[in-house]
Amino acid sequence: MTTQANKNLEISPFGDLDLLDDVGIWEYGVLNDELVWNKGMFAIYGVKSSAFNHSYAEWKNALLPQDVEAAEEAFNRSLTTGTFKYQFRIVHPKQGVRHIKATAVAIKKDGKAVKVVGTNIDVTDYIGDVSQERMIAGTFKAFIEQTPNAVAMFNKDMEYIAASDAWLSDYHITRDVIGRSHYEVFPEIGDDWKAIHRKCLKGHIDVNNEATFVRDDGSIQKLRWHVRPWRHENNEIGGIIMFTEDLTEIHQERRERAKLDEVLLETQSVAKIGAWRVDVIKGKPYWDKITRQIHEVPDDFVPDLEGAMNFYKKGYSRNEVQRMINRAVEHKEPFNFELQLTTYNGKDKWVRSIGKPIVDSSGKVVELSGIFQDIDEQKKKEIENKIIKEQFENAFSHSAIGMALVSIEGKWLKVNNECSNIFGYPKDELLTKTFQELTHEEDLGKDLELLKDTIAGKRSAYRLPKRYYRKDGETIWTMLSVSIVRGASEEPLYFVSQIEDITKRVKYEQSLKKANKDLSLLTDKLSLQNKSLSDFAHITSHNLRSPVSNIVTLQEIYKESESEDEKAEIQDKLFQTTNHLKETLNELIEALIVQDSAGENFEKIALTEVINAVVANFEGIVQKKKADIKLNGNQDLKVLGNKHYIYSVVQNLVSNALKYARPNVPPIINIELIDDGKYAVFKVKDNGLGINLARHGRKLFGLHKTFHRNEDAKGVGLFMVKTQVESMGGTIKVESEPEKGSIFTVQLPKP
Amino acid sequence: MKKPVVLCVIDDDDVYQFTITRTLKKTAVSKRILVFSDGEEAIDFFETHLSKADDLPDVVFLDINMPVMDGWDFLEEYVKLKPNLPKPITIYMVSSSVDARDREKARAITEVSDYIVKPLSEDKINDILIELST
Repeated sequence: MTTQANKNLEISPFGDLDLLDDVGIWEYGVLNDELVWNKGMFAIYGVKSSAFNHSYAEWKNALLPQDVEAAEEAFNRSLTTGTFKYQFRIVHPKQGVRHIKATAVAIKKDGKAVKVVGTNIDVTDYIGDVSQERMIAGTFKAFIEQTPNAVAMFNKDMEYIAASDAWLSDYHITRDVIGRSHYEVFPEIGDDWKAIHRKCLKGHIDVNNEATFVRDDGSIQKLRWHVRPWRHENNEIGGIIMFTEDLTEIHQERRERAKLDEVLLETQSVAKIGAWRVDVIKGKPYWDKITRQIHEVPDDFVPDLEGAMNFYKKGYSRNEVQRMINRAVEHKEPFNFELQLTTYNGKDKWVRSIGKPIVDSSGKVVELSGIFQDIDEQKKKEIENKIIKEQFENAFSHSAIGMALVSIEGKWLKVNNECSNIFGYPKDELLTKTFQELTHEEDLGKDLELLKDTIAGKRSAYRLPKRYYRKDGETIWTMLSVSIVRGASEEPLYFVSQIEDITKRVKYEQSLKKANKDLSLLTDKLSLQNKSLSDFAHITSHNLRSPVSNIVTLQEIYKESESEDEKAEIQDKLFQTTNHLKETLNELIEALIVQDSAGENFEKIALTEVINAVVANFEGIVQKKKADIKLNGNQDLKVLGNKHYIYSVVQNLVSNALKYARPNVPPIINIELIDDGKYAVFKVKDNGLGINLARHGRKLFGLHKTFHRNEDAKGVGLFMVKTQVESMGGTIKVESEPEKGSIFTVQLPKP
Repeated sequence: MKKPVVLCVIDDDDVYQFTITRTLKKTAVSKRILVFSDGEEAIDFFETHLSKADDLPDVVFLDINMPVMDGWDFLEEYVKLKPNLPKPITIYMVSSSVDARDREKARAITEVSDYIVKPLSEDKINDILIELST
């Protein structure tokens, strides 16, 4: 083919395209290694067509040695990958190094490249002096990449040539930016900046010590920057170099510091601490703003030494100030005083001034300097507190009731004189004790419970009547009031206790109570007596009047009577009635005697003895009725009383038990003796007719009552029994149910 | 001929029973006299003769102090009985007691017409009987 190609050179295979003689077009047959160039190619390469041997190798030879590898690689790639672009340099026989931009595209058949076609364009003029640029850039690049500052190098198109590590980190980008336009990387760059870049590209040097830059994400960057053009060897501007410093952090720091200063200033004003100094040599004081404010002086006020001191209140304050200033100047003594002054506006206030002397090399005091503070509010509070404290102290010491401060554990912290009086301990001894030690054991529990609640916050105070033991062992009654004092964090600090000695009152109340009780008892006794008395009166009136009225009536009837039989009958009745009357009178008198002689002739009596004697007496009836009388219990039981009465009581009860037996039921009588502490008790239990207590209970022990239509029923027995028992200081009661028998219980005092 | 008045004495004192009966007999009024020794006896009689108006007393002389069932107890029972009685009965409380309390107690009971202190004189009885017939 070669020969034919050679021949046909004059007739270019590219036809009319050949007319474009600055665009190189080439064609390469892969299989036969044949390279066909157009006119443009020959022009670019500076090779005569006749001299061309149409081989790949020939092209290769034309290349600049250091670009061969890259170009070849690119060409080989084209065989597989399709269209691609690449650049390399060639050595033109006449023009020297030329920069070529090449394209290539492979034509495949059955997947394999058979032909490659492409273009070549000489772009040397557009690129400029590539080598030089490259060289400079290379040098710069090294420098730039290594510099600790943020520097970037751009070409005339504002494309990145190089960027330092610092630049990359500052702007949070990577080295991929190389070759990319700065405006593409940072689309947010404003026109103003672009204008600057343009100016610099024209030769302007731009410096900005603080520029604000708003990033895409809204964050604000403050920069210091420096932009200048860089030039080729031939002084032609190649692009610009940008040097920036991120001030944002620094700026932030500064801002913080400013804020701090502001706060500090404010604090100072709040604390109202001012500064001052006095030039001792010139005798001139200098006041800062706060000091001036404290003095309430107008802005144009100029203080002089004497005037300054005259602000202080005449008398103590002024004298003190003068004294201290003198001491500071003459004896190098620093001072710290709290005194009163009157401000320019006539207001009185407390101030504190702390000052120290400044000496020169010869030891002479040349300056006084210090701080000044308005302490009016604090001072006032202090004074108030002092007064309150004094008042409290006064109230505390001289209180008519005991006052104490008690620790949370119960220790006496502070006690007043009255406390000392109440407890009978001298003050210092009392302070070694706890309240628990002095509290009566019966009252301690409740006190501690209330205390616990108070500490826990369930209550803020409590009142409690309680007993303490005095030093001399005597028990005293007090009314205790306790309240708790808490600290700033609500922690319990101590208790304030008030103790009122109410012993007298309590004792009085107690005696009153006792007197009341005694009175009640007495009243009961009296009313009992009264009752029995009225009962007595009632009974006597009835029991005496009845027979008497009968006698009267009988006599009248007798007077009118005409029949002898009737008269006889009436006489009979008269006799009956007078007897009845006599009996009644006897009983009554006996009862009176018993009542009257209560307490007399009392002796120790063994109950067993009496009972046995009585039972022996009833031997006959016991036999007749086939009765069974048993004695149980404490056989040694003794009572204190009248022998006759005891005998009478036992006899009556046994007699009744026998008398009121159920018809045809042999009486079983149980007498039980019980020791009941202070009393001796004996019970007489029978199985007889019983008594309907619901009906007759009231009158059971009354005089002359009968409850059964029993012939032997006299009834006066129980009245006498009760009288006798009660005269010995005892009691008698009965339990009974009809048809079930009765139990009479007698209680008598033991000797 | 007027129907005989039925008089009733409730008292445990047998001497008194004797004397009062005699006094009552002496009055001009035609009568029958019932005597009971205690309240229980009397109440039992009333209860068993509720249908027989003629057998029941018109007047009762009631003693206070009696065994088994005294005057007060009797009245308690009587009050329960009263709604079923076929005729009205006048009750006089009779007692040797001058105790004002007894008198007051008797006065408080509506069924008791009056309180009389023993001994009952003939005149007093006559007055009562005359009052009855009116």
